[in-house]
Amino acid sequence: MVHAMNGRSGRGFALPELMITVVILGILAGVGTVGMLASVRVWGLRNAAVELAGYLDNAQALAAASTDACVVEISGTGSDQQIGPAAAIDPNSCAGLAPARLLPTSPLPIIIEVVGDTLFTIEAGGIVIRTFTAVLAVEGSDQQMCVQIFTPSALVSIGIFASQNCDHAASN
Amino acid sequence: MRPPINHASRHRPPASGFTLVELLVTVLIGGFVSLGLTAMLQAEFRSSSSILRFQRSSRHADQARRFMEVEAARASRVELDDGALVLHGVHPGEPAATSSYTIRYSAIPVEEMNTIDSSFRGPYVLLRDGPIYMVNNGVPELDPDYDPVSGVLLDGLAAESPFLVEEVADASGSTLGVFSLTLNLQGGAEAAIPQTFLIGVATSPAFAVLQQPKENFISNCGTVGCRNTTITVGGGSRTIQEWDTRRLTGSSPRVIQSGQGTAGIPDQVIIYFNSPRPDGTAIRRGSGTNSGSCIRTECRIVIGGVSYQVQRDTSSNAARWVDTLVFLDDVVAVPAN
Repeated sequence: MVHAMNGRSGRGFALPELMITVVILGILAGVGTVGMLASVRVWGLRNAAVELAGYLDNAQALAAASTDACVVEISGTGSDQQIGPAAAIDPNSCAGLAPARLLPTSPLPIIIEVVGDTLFTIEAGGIVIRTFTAVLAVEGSDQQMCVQIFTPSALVSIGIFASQNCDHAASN
Repeated sequence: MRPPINHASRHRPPASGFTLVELLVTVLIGGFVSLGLTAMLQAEFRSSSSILRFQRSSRHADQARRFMEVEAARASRVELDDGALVLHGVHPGEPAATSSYTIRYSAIPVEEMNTIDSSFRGPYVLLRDGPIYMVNNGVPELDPDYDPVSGVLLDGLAAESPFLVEEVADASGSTLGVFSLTLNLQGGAEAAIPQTFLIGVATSPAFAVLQQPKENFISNCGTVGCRNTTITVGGGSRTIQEWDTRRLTGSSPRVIQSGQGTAGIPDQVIIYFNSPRPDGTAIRRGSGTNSGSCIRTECRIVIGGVSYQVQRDTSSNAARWVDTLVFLDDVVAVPAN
């Protein structure tokens, strides 16, 4: 187009020009892709934390309305991890809860690592005896999020996990 | 020889690309449009995030309200202390338990609650100070073997009037044991949105009189008590009898008869003592019995080896028996049903 502007129509781009253009476009695309992948990882991590918190909120509501405790369990490995009622516990007020994948939807195969107890009990009446903390992490990334349930009323909070501290001020 | 004339070439507009100015203008316009779209998306995301956060806060507030209702229903006395809601005489939940606890709910600045393990959003959090729970035969109850601990019930209380409790009357207009609890939730950058709940407290309606002695002055009290004093509470009259206070040094026992034959309200005799139970006292059933509950039977309190009969209303044709003995912060007997 510059050539056309200069009235030198009929002449194409020179090889160096094309190469420089391709390199620049490649760098821009690379930077954009890296940023997009990071954003997708963060989005997936946050989505998983919100889903886990929502699941625990529902479990708390079921236990609060029951005379039986609710025991949920995180099982599986890698991207197939899921949360659901603990099958070995009977009666279990959360027995009717359908198991759910910790990462229900993601365009990338993000792996969630749950650090800490995988079995959690909400007592009858919705009371929690021991605080529960699940740390969700993305493989190959420093990003971590935590989901905490506090005693005694089973308050469920989401935060960014950093330096062994669940910072609810950032994400809750 | 002249070259053939290319008519098509002759009528074609001169080959031209975009000028530099056109490119720059296009890039600028495209940049502005992109910035605008990005700003709109970010605003939408923030709005959506704020709504979700507020929805979660509202759900948690409702959850905290239900939790507080359960504990308040076990309390024998409620008071406001420097903006905090304090439940006294909270029964632990185990029917045979004879001890009771004090639980305090207060809104505190988040800076005072952040710990090495977790930090909260604030600016205020609703804190519960009280005994922890344990599980006994599958039923959660307050644990007598542990010291009180602090626990966060709710995050995201607004800084402005985050905690307000008011006494209100119930539908019949005669009960002062129902409290309005207002929690102002911080909805992100928006103004605080109040969430108001009603918390029913299982105290005797007439007990509210003791909470408001100035507004409900009890007259006709002599040195031996306030027998058969009728006062007005919430539009209805109640009879309060204060028994021989000379026999219980440092305390002021009062007998409150609720119900008074009103349909739907059980007749109960509750004796309140405005002091903790003195050390060395014992509750006995009858003059010749050394143990057992005095509920609905003759009740005696032993102080310093001397047994005092405290509950029998000998001035009435029908003998009334005690249902509950409540010392300040210490429920020593509760109704069997």
